[in-house]
Amino acid sequence: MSPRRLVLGGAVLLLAGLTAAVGLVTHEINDRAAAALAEQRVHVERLSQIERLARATHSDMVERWLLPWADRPRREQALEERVSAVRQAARDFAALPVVDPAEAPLTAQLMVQVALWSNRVDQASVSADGPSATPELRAHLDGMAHRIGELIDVVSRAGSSTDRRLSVLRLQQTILQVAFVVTTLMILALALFWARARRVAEERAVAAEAARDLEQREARQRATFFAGLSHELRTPLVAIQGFASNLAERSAAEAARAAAARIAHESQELLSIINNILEAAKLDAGKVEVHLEPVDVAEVLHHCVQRCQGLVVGRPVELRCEIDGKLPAARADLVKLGHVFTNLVANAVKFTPSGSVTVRAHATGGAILIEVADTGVGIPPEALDRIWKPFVQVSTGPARQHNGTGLGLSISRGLLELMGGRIDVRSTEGEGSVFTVMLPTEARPEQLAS
Amino acid sequence: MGPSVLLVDDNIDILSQAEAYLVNRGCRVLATASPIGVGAMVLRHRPDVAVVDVMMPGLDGGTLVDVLDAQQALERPHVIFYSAIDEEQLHQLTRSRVRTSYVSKVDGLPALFAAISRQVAR
Repeated sequence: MSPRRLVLGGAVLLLAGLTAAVGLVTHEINDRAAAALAEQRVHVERLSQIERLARATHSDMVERWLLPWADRPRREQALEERVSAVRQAARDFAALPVVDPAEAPLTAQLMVQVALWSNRVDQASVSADGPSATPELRAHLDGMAHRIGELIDVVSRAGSSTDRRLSVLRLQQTILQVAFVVTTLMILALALFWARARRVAEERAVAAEAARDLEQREARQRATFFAGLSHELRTPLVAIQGFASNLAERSAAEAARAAAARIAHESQELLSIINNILEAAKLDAGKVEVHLEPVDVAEVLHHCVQRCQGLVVGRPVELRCEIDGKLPAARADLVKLGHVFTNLVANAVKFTPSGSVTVRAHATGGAILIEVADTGVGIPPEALDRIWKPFVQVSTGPARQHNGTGLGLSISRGLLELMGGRIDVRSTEGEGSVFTVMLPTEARPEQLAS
Repeated sequence: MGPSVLLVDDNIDILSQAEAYLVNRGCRVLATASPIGVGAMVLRHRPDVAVVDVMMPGLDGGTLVDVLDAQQALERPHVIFYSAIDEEQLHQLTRSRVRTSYVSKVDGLPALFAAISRQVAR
């Protein structure tokens, strides 16, 4: 099952649980509210009854008692009605359920007082001592009125308390309903938001993976293209070089030998240019990877010098090596280091019309220092910074004296930096130049970095 | 008698140049423009060194060496990859395979002959 379905299912379950819980609580609150409502009705009823009793026991009873004896039948009828009304009101009141426990003793006392008072009224009526009993009856009535007042207070207080409880319960109901609705909406919103966020994240991950795949595919295609281009450009040149060399070796005519040698030399130049352009393109694209490993620098330098020996054939230039026999292993990329020194030596030979090109190497302070020194044309001081830039030669324009793309030094510096090394130059115009390369040793690879 | 060399290169010009160059320097050369059937040639002629181009149609030089290595009856000679591809790629080819080395075609036939001589001297 997908995570999105799991979350949505979880949200539905959560909502179902929440609904059940809210239902239970609501049911409980409704029960309490119904009970409170019933209590409230009883309070209202008791209050109404006690007020009826209060009206029935009003002190005008005494005035009725004092009606002229001559009008005895009317007085007795009035009294009987009133006493009957009081008794009935008292019975009705007592018949109602007691809500507040404090009402029970007061009600009982009132009932006793009503009974005593009504008996006394009856006695006084039949014994014709009515007028003499008036103060006693008035006192009874006052006592009953006092008790009724107390009961009204108690019943009113209990009713107010019930009212408050009912209000609180109704408020709780409202809050619960609102909270339920809000929580439900929030859970739904969160589930939907999560599902959407997840979908967006999945879409982004898919897009990122597709972009990575595309980039890797493009990188592979680029690498394949460069490899193919390199091979296709070099192979015919190699064949041309081979034919030219054979011709130069076998031809009897001096002019033909010279021409063949010239073809071999120019094709070698062209090969060098192609190599540099391809390497510069890879450096520019950031696609050059270095494989650092222990490298025998002396062997690399000897190989490069040997490789460049052909460049000094027939020229008054001596190419030599002065390499310390106890060089430690450098930490570098074997192939790229060869490329760098081939560039430097070929460059030195190119800019040395006569004299010497010397390659020196020795260990110094945990690093290996290699110098390629020539006695050539040198570099003017104002051009020393420019020579590291690609496509820059000191002498430019149609009248320049030396061929080349001006890429060799830029590539050399780029490759050395990738290997953790560095390159510098010092030069005197007209006297020659010294290119100095510092390489970290395998034993102390951090030396140059520090 | 010079070393026996098996040359494998699909470029006929380069193959003929290399063959002529090495023969002139005393090598006994067996040249083929196709990598197919190289195993049988190795078995039959037991060359001291095999010089193998890398980019060839049908079977590249690296795979050819792997195929030769897979034939247990065959005692493969040392292989020198001789190609115009990047030196970096040549280096990688030899890094993962025993008894191999490389010479870039850019360095020319003298470098190839020097490498063959070094190998035979071992």
